[in-house]
Amino acid sequence: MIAQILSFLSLQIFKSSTVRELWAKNHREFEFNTGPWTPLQKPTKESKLCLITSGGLHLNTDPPFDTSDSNGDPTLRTIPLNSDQNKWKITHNYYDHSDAERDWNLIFPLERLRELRNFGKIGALANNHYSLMGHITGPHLPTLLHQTARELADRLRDEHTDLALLVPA
Amino acid sequence: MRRISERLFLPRSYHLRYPFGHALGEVENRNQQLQILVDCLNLLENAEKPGTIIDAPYLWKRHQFEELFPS
Repeated sequence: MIAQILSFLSLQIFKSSTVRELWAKNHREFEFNTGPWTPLQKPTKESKLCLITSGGLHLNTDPPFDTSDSNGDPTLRTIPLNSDQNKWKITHNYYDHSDAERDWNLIFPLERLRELRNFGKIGALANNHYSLMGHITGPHLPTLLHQTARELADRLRDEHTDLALLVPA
Repeated sequence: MRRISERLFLPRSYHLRYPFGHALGEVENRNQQLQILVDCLNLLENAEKPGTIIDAPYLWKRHQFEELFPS
């Protein structure tokens, strides 16, 4: 019971933008002195793009992200390109997603990317796009880094994706 | 969020000082959303080294976005 109360309180506290800014300022779970680099292989107008969000989006027919765990849910959800937006849902208690539910483009701009593809700015969109739940902490960070991220990278490679656009929430 | 991008040494980042849950801006602001995505595509084409961060010049609810593509 105490754990549930603490979890509820932490979720409510994180709805404050000031608290979240402070969290981001002091978030030092990972820190690197160098980063990966893959030069662009071809112009974006000839490339296949995959969209990834950390906004907790999922199909309402898929399991929701686990919001009962105060360390978050490090698993992955697939959003097919041609999925029905009426079946999209956000399960994420650490930000206000009421506007995103009015306009999915705020965190998952697939509709706008379709337009850019139609206008020739992007070569193609991948058949599958992906969603994670942000605010992963503690014991779930190694799972995110060594398991989920690798699974996602494997899928991007298998689907011959050239570009990945990650939109945080 | 810019500090997190710096610490993680992300390959290419496009930074907007917008509220959480509004990465692409305002509800139904098509011109804004397309401009931000075009800027991100330009970043992909123009960045030359890892850790490149572009700070967007668009202030929250103050910038007037022009139509880039006919609707």
